[in-house]
Amino acid sequence: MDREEFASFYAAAFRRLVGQLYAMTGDLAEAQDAVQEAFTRAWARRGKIDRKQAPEAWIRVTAWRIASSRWRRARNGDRLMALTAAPEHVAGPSPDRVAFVEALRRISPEQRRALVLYHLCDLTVDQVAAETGTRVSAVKARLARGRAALAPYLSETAGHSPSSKQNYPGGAQ
Amino acid sequence: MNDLTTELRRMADEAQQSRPPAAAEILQNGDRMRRRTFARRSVAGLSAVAAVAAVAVTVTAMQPGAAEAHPPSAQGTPPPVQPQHRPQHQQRVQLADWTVAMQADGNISLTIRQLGETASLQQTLRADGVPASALIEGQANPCHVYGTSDMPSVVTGFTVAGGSDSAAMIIHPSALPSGVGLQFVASPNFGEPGRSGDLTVRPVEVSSACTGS
Repeated sequence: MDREEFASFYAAAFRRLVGQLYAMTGDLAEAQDAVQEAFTRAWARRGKIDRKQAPEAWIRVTAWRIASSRWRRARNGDRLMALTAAPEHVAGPSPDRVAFVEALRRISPEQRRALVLYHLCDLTVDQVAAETGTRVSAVKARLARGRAALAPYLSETAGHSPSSKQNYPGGAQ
Repeated sequence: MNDLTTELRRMADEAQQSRPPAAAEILQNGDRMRRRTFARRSVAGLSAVAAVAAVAVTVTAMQPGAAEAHPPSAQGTPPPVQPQHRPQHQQRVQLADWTVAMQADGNISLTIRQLGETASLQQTLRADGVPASALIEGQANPCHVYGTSDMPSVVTGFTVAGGSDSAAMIIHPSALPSGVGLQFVASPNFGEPGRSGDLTVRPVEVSSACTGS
């Protein structure tokens, strides 16, 4: 992948990946920082990215690792406040969205990640398992538990009955 | 509000309003990172040569009549060599990439300055009773992450020295659940002065491919 190809890939994928990481982490600034750093690493190791032939997945995995590293936060807590590319001001989210983000934060990071990969990134359960380095059964359990944890909130806000919640193909409880 | 998929998409859409940094900035930073990585690999090769020389000097120092040697601790590189008969030279202290020290209470003190020698670190920790895996980010990972990522009683006392120079911690092997080990994952720039390196410690499922047992 040459510079031009990488720049095109970056322009096409950056916002999408920030959206995915934001849904995984619940922290927009952290998501932007992690995706930016993951792209930097991807360019630094472009030979490997070419070989893997799945650059977007590689960057998503790397960004997740960056964002989920609690030690990194301990080491760079001050640095995060002085990013060279500060996020542009974004219009405030609606109250519903704030509540949804809060609900997402209440479930475990692993459940959140599985839900985002399955529902937002449109990966199959097998693909989620491969990307997260876990077993298919564990992914199914995370999806089911995460969904169950969010279901009351979704049902209440939507005015739906609990029976309207979705099931996962082959999902385990 | 609709279903979970719709909500996640809305959430992601809102996040996508932000403007990405210029591609040129990413490329420039990536080029810098690449140069640093190559430079460090070159330095590592030179260090290996220096290590052989240092071991030779140490062996010489332990001959009868030489100054008493301190008990060696488990370190990622040889301990510093202290010339006995060359006072005109300024003494240089070579810090190990990592240091593992078993404490009297059975806990393990671990200091990581760099994680270049992943194999020897994991062997040392395993010998001290910690099913361990160590790797540099980007390497193939044979491990499965254990169910929960938070195990505060297993690793305590995490401290950072010198801003970005090293990380120290106490590992409590007795607090590890059965079938669970620890994995240490460092970014290639971890330990580089003035750089923001990542070091992640997470619980993993014990297996022969991952933790060697």
